[in-house]
Amino acid sequence: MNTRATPTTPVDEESYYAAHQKVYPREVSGTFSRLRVTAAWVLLGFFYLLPWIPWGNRQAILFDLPARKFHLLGLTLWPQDFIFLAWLLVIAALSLFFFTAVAGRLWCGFACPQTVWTEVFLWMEKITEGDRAKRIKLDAAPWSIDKLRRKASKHFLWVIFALWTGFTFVGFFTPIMDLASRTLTLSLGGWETFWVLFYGFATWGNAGFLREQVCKYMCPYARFQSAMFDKDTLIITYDANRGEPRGGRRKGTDPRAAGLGDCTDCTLCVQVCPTGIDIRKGLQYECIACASCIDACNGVMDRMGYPRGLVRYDTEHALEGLRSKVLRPRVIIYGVLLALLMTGFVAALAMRKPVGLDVLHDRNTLYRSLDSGEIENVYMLKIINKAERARNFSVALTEADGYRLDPAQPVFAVGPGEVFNAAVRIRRNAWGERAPGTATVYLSIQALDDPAVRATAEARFFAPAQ
Amino acid sequence: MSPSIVPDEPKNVANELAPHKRLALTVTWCSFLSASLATMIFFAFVDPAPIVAVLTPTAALAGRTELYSLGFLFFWLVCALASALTAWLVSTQPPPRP
Repeated sequence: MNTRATPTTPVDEESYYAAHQKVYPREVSGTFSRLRVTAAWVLLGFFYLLPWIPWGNRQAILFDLPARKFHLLGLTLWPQDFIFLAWLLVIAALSLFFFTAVAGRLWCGFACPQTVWTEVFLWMEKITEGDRAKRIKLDAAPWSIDKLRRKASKHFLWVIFALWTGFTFVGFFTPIMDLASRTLTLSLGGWETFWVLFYGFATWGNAGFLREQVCKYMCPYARFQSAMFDKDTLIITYDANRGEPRGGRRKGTDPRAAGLGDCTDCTLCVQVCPTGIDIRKGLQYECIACASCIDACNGVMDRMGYPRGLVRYDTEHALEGLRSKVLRPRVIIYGVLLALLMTGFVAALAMRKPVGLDVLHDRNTLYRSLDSGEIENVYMLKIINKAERARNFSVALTEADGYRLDPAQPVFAVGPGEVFNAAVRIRRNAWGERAPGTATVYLSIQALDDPAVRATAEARFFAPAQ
Repeated sequence: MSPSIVPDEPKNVANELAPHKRLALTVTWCSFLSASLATMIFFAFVDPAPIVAVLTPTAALAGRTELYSLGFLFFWLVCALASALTAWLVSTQPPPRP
């Protein structure tokens, strides 16, 4: 939609926006960039290698959508275990809140797939097109054999890497060995091909071209993360008191005598910034806290013989000369909630039963009086077998004198991961010694091959009142 | 060392993408996120295979993979439509009259 065509928007709107300028982040070395590269290796290592790890005779991590089950190492989750997935998502969200409150946008700077893949794509850009200055020159230069060669090799690397990424992604959902052999023989299914290309295209576009614009325009977290911030949150800061007035100087000049602060105005902090901002203007929402500017500035401070930390991780309180508090209500609340949820998750997973039982009373008829004088109720059993193999379950009534099942000892075969519906009848002598009327009965099921695999459920037995 | 080979000129105007391009990115991505969530929740509770088999018994049996994919694309389309309409209405809202 073209907003400029509508009369309600200012005519000169376009003048507020410079055409989007490509950001050419300069290479940087230092503690934080080493940390970021390490994080990238670890995270991408997990992503690209995990699907290849076997577990018995199957893949260790496989989201087997066609069979509606998720394999996670030795664990198999069925759709009935959806609560675990939802729970996990809540834990992930709360962890994000917790870490944001403590240390700002750690996620954005070091762990977000957008950052990690952009890092790799930038590296490929660097080895094909050269460093920042060379890249700027190359883009400005007219087309030549050299430019064509460099651009072509960059895009070749990008496309190969993006396709491999798409392939790996699909490998989480389709056994990757099989996928690989079918890729080599060019016999992939239509949808598999589609998803490999789709995910590859998204990687290529996001990490190769959109880059910081994903954070600026598309990411909801980038907008609301400031809600988790307070004056004790670690942020990337420029110490203006120490740095200003900024200005160039010769090495060895006493800055105080020259009326200068410690900032040499070398603009390295701006050049290394992947989002193209100037940290010296204060905290901006574009800042993804990658700490490249800290590394760059520390390098300059070292060369000038000034103390490090003109640009550093610090809190607003510390900058104001106050003490930063790590333990504060916000952090404690997030932390306690997170600990509870995680403990609960592990406990629930450990206590997860391999079988489930639900009993529903027949909806149409409350009870039936039989010719034999007995009262009969009909129930629908839902037997959920969460094991990886088929099992036979016997059904029994527990602590139920005067009641009996019909058939007397029903056995049902339930497939792996199946929710089996079975009808059973319970009968009671209408004039037995038990108080007539409605009562509670307990139905239980037990695996024939393993008596420890059992479940019990409660049901109402309806009968006419005397 | 000479730190800056190509000095950064201070920019007088914000380095921003044009508004309609920004909206397009936002709409695409936010609808993608919502559609992913919807797909996950919907198909956790609904197995599409038997339903499709009942609805079109004569047609070739569709696999679950196809149905999940189509379901996701459908959710994405619907979410994008809602997102785009919202974005368009908000961005073309006339200013309040004095």
